[in-house]
Amino acid sequence: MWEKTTDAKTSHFHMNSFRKRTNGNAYYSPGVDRFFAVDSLDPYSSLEIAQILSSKVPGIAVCLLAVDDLWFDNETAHQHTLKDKNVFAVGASILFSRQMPTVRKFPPNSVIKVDQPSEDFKDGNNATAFQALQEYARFVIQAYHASKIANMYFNSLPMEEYARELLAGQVPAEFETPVDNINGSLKTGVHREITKILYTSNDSTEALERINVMWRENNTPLTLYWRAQFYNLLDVPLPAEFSNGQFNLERYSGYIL
Amino acid sequence: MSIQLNETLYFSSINFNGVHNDFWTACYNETGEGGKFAIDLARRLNPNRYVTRDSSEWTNPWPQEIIPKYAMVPYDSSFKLNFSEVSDLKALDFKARINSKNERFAMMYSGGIDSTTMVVALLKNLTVQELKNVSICTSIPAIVENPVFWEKFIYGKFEIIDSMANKYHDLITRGYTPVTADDGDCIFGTVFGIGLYHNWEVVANKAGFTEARKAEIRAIMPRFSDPEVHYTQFADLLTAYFSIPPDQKFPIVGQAVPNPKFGKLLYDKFARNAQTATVPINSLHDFFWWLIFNVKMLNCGVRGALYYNDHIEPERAIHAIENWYNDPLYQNWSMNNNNNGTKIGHTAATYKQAARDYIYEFDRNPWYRSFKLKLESMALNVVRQDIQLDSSMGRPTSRFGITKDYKLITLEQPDVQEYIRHHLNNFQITWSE
Repeated sequence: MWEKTTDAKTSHFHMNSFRKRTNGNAYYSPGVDRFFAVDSLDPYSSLEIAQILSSKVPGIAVCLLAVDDLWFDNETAHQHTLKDKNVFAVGASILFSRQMPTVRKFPPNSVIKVDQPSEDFKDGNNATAFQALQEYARFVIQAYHASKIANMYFNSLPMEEYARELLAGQVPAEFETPVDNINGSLKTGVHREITKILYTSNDSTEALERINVMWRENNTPLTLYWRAQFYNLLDVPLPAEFSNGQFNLERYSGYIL
Repeated sequence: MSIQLNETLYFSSINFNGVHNDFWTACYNETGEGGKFAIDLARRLNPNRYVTRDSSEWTNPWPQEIIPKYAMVPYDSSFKLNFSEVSDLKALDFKARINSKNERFAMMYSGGIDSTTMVVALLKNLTVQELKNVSICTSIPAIVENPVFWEKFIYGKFEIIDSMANKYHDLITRGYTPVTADDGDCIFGTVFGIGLYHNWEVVANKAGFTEARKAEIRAIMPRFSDPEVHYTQFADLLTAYFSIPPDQKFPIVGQAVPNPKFGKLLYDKFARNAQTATVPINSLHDFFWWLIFNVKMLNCGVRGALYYNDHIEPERAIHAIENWYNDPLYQNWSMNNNNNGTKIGHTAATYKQAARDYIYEFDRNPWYRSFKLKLESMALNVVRQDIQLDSSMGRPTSRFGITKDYKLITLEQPDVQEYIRHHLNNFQITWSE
C-alpha cells in the first residue's frame, strides 16, 4: 500500500502541480481580510514562512487552495479574499486564533475577487504598512527558499537535527552537536540564523545587510559555496566583498587526513 | 636549526591544505621533474605521505624510513586463522591487559565497520566487569552510522566520551590507551580502488578508450579480485585513473595543463612497488590493497597522533595510541586472504565482508551487513576540530613531518622549507622510462 505517489492523499496538499500553479499556498491576513502573498511549493515551507512573518502580522492563515480555485499571484494577491472567513482552526476562528499561523486546506471556490482594498487599509499608515508587508513577504518567501535549498545542499552534517529529532534521549548531554559544519563562530547554524534575521528584520535591505554580516563573520572554506548558492538562488549579485573567493583560515584545520 | 639537510625523516606530508598552498606552488614552479612529481602526487592523492613498510621499492624526495612500530611483519603463508578468530584473539589480549595492569581503553568508535569490529570483539570476549575499563569515544556523525548498535549495545552501557571535544592529548592525559581502527582500510583494500571499480567507464570515456578496449575491460572488470586476471591487464585504465584531470580546479599550481605523463609515472611507481612486494600481488584488488597496506599505511597509523593532538609530543603520542589492526595477527590475516571474498566481493556493498559477517554474528543486524558503506568518519571530526592556537605543536596545517628522533618539524620553520626545496630539487624519477 505504500507504492502510491500522486494518488496518495498527502499529495493533494502539494498544490503546485509541477510549476503550473502560482497560488497553491496563499497567505491570508484575517486583520486585513486580504491575501497578501502566494507560494507554490510545499505547505511545510509555507507554514515556516508564515511563522517568520508572524513577527509582523498575527493570525496568518496559510490557505492551501484547490486546483480549480481562482488563480492569482503576488501582484494580484491583495485583490482577493476568502469567501468564508469563519474558518476554525484548533477551536478558534482564524481571526481570533493566535499569533502563530495556521494552515488549512480549503474547499473549492473559497477565494473571491474584490475590487477595493479593505476598508481600514485604503490609505494612510495602514495602506503603507500593508504594502510593506506585501513587499517583505515576497522577499521572505524567496530568501527562505534560497536558504532552505542551500542548507539542503551544503549542510551535509546536520548533527544537532539528528540528535534532537532522531536520537532524542540517547545522546549524552555534554556532547557537541553542531547545527552544521561550517566551522565558524556561528552556533545557531546558517539556515536558522537567516530565518532569525528574517524574523526580526524590518525590510529586505536590513535583512540582507545582516545576512552579509553573518557571512562575513563566518567566512570559512565551507561557507564559500554555500553563500554563493544562497545569493544565486535569491537572484541577487554576490556582494563585492565576497567576490575574491578569500576566506578566513583562523579556525581552519585543513584537509589534513 | 630544527633540521639538517641530511636528516632522515619518520614522517613527511606534502599536503594542499589551503593554508600552505602558496608554498607548495612556489616549490612546484622552481623544481624539476622529480620534485614536480612528488607535488603532483599530493595534487592527485592529497596528501602525499607514502613510504614503504618493507623492502619493496619506493623512493621519497628526502631520506625517510618507516617508524619501527609500523614495519611490516614478515609474510607467513602458513597463517591459517580466520578474521573472527583473529578479532577474538585481539580482544583477549585486551582482556589480559585489563586484568594484569588495569589498563583503561578509549575506543575511537566511528560507527564504521572497522571500529564496530573492535567493539564487537570486546563485547564478545570481555566480562561486564572487564568492560568497565573500556570507554567509547565517539560523536554524533558516528552514532548515526549505526544507531541501532548504539541503542542496543553502547548507550548506557559504557562511559561515553565526546570525540569532538576530546582529542588524543586529552585521552592520553587522562590515562587512557586510545585505540583507533583508522588503519582498518589497510587490511581490506582502499576506497581508491572501489572508486575505479564503480566508475571505470567514465574514466575510460574521458580518456578516449575505443569501444573495443572498453568491451575488453567490461569483460574482466567483474573479476577484479581474480588472481588469474593480473592487474597489468588494467594498466592503461589505471594510468588514466591516476592522471590529473585537465579541468582540475583545486589544487592549482600555476600550470595550466597538468603533466600528461603523470598518470603513467604514478602507475609505474605503484606497479614497481607491487612488483617488488614481499606478498604475491596479482589481481587488481591486490594492487590497490597493497598500495594502502604498504605505502599508505603509515599515514593511516599516525595521522591521529600528529593531526588530532595538540599537546603530546609525537613520539609519546604515536606509541601511546594503539592501532587495532596494526597487529601481527591482522597483518598476517590480511596478507593471506587476498581474492577469496573476505575482503571484497564485487562492489562496495561487500567491502570488508569478513568484518561484516563478524559483526552480524553478534548483532544480527541485516541492514548493516548488507548496506553499510565505507564513510570518511574520522575526517568529519578532524576537519572541524577546534584549532588550539596555544598548541605547543603549531597549527595542524603547518606540521610537515617528524625526524627520526621524533622531532616535529613544521612549514613555519625556514630551515624546514629549505630542507624541502633542497630535496625536491634533487629528487630523481628512477622507476619509469
